Amino acid sequence: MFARPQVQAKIRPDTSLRRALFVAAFIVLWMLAIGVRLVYLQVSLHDWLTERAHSQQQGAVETGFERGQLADREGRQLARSVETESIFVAPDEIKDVAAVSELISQALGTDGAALAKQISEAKNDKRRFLWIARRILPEQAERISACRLDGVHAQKEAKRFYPNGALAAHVLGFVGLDNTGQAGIEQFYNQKISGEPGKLFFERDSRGKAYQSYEIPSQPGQSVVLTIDQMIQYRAEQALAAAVARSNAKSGTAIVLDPRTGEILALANAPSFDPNQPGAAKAETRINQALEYVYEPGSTFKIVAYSAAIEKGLVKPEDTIDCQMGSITVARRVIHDHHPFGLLTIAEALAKSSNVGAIKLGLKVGDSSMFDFIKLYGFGSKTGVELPSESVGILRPLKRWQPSSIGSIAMGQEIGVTPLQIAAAFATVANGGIRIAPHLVREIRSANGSSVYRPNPEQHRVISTDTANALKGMLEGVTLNGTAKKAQLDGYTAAGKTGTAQKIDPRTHGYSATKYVASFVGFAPVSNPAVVIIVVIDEPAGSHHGGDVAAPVFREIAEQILPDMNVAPDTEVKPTPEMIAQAKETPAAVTKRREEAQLENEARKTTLPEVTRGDRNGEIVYVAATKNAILMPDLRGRSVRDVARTCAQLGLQIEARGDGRVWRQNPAPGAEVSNGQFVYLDFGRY
Amino acid sequence: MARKLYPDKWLFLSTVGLALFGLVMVYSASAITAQKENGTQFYYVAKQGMWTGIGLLVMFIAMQLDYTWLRNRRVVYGLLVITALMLLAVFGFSPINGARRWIKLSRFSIQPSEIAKLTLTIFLAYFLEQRAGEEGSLLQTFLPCAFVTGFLALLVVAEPDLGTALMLAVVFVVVIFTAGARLWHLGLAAAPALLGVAGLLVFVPWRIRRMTAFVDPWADPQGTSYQVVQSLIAIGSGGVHGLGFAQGKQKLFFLPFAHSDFIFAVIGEELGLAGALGVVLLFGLFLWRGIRTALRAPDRFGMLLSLGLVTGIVAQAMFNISVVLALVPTKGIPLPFISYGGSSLVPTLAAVGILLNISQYASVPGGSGNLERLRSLVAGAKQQRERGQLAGDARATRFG
Repeated sequence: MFARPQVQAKIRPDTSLRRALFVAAFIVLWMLAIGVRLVYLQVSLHDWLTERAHSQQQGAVETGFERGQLADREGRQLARSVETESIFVAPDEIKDVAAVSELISQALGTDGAALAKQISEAKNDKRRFLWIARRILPEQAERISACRLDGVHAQKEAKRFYPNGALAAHVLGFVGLDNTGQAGIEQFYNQKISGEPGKLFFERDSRGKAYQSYEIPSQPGQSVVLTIDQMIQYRAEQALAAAVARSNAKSGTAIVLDPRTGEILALANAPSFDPNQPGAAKAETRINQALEYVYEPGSTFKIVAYSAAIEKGLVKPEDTIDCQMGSITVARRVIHDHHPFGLLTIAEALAKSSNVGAIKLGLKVGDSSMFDFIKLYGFGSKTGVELPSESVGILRPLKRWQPSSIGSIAMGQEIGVTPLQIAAAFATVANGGIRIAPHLVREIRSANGSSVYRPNPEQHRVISTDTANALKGMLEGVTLNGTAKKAQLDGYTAAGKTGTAQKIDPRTHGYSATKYVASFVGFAPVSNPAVVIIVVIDEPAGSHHGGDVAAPVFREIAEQILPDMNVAPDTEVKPTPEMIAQAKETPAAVTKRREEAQLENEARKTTLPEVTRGDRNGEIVYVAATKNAILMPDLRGRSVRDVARTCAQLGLQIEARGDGRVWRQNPAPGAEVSNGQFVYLDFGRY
Repeated sequence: MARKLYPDKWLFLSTVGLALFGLVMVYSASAITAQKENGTQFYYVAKQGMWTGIGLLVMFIAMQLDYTWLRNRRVVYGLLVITALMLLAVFGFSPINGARRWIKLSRFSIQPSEIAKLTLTIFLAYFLEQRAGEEGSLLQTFLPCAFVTGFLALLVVAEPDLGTALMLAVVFVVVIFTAGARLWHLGLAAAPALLGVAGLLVFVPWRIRRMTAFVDPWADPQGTSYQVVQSLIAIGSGGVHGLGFAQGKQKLFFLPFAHSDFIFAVIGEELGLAGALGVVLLFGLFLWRGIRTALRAPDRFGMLLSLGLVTGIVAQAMFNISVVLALVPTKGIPLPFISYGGSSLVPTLAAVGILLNISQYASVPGGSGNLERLRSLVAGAKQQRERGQLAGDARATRFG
């Protein structure tokens, strides 16, 4: 339509190829320019830009991370992280320092002038960021944010919380202000339990007014399931604390071990502390005596000489031995028995804890074999339990033994052990001669719940099954007619050994006449031991004999926990006053009556009685429990923290919504709930 | 041709290499953001992986189809109409970050401006082949092309997406320049375009801020130059060897759009000069094989189409890298193959598929793209046209 023919008349030479190459050349030049620019930026300006990068990246503040939870073997929470608020300021956003400081300090109940000084200093240093209160209560934080102050910001941070207070404090340990483990499992597995800390960056925005903050959230750490049973731990702690108080002792330790698996069911020290406030306790209270306290074991150690002699076939339990009326000379050193004994069987010598008998067996076994058995039982080396600062004890190498050493060591002197080492040795006997390394961790789980670690405890045979069975019988004799009659149990056979060791006086380097370590270590039931319990009482006042001071604690713990563990009674129940009129019962009847009594007892008792909890004493859970179910408590009107603690104690899982106080709950109060069940709670403010 | 033809190996390998490398870098750049926003560090990389799979599939299909099916009036104008309708449709959707660039379907979104690049290239190649011998005509050739380009570009500018509009202009200039347009025609077109850009700079304040930021980024590092400064810091702190894969710090907070428009800064930071130059060289390889394909294309349509496609992709890449390196003012434009986003990756890979199909003819020994051959093609087309003209074919004057 337009005048195309005229245009067409003028045919231009085709330049397409040249032009295409021109386009390509142009892009190649562009690439070269980019290459030059890259070299300039990444080589010439590298140092300068790196410095800029560091200076701005270091403006980031690390925020607390959420540690993984610690739970007992049934999954009941022993330690977890709760969310708290931390308050920080951006100093140069604050105009009226004095007024702001005053308002904040009113809300926190701190000194306003000091805070004002802090903020002014930070302002002068041109700092971007200043923490002014960390991990405070949500209520306090709310009071501050209600003031709507420019430049004052709140940040959520996790805080470690031990819902059961002092329960298992020495096992769990505690964390420092920086949220890192300082003792116990918290320290030993700090790396695994710690999550990745979050980071908080801020920048001024382009208008230079408001701050922009950006948070990289923290990653929660792995959680640890312990071998500890909260209930057994509680029983052990109560019994031990009572015994230490009763005997006015300096301190005490009790360990409950499952000899079949090496799992530590309870590990208690008295006095204890509240890991929520570790600073409030004396440093020595926080020491885990069960594996850091080295003492001369005394008679409990005789098990080594006896097992060596029997294992090597040197003696049999029925053989007689002359206890030489309580006196023996070893390498010109005269050693006495507490009672003069004449001819005794080997079993009787152990039951009556004759030093002379043990020494004579030691001499028969000889230094070298004795040393081997000591090592096989695990003395002189760490048990490998998953706790920090475990002691190896004191075991002199064979070439440094004196001629008289064999005598001393056979009866438990000249050697230092930890309570856990002795417990492990007795667990070896209870387990038919195989020693399984004691351990505290059942499983470690990643934050998403998958298993990342399961223990594979070292195990080896120390003595033959026959020797172990012979020793079990002999040790039962100790409770039946030897030094530990107070360790006899109601309904269960028990075996064990007492120990009463004089402490070495640090001034005279001789044995003290007044300071003793009283101990008892035993297991029950004898034929198929379910638990090994060691009780060590340090410096009891008054009676210092292991059979008087420690054996009753063993009994108290064992009698409470064996029924809880569903261990069938294997002997008749001793008549108690109200039962005197009854005829002798058949074992079946005994079992039935026990079960009835147990049901009745469980129906009556609270799920987990109150635990000493420092200043937050006195929160009792008013819940009746039946055998398998718990009754849902009325949580309405209670705070988050309060509810969390209650539910942790009952083993209930919380699904919470909102904040403030509970106004609605499902299931309803009084409904039957079971361990591990979810309860749904709506929180609100009214 | 009895011989079996194969697509260009290097073109294929550089494309797949860049796409897979992009996938890896998207993971590195987005993992932390994804963890924070979506609870899994694989959120973005999983989506990108899916898009890479779809994109490669589309590429394979396009590679199998003889490109000459595109040389069809119905196909070309159909594509043009559909593209224009899609560009209009975006205004019916709510804006994301202040821009209406996407058509949101239930599971994914389409970015019509990316498709517009492909459509425009096909149209220009087709139209200019039709006008072979008349490239110098302002009315018959230049203005119709300019009009179509301008129409699409204006719709894209209105989204607003100045970066993609600019790429449309680049494709137009490259293709029509190569086809043989007169330079003063191009100058004529540049004038209103420059005026338009100037107008935008004056009336849209943040654009002028970006300009000043480009001139001296360090003047206001916390404000207008924030992106540029953070990008330069990332590149520079990488040094020669880089901080190591996934070790980059800038992406954590400082570098905006770390996994999309500024992913090259993450590459520079983590893989250093070696990695950054490697990416540029891969695009160089892609350019070389692409240009070779164009020069050896069996016909004018194939030549202009492959040239438009390859320069469109490489120029966009160089433009994106130049933004990251503060060589040009900041423009939001993705790095082809590498930046996160299926709506850009899939059309790009589709374009490469067409390119690969044309590249088969480049393997013919002696090449078909020699000067004589092209000249004869031009002459042939001219004769055809004259014959058509004599027959009174008026359809070709549609744009007259």
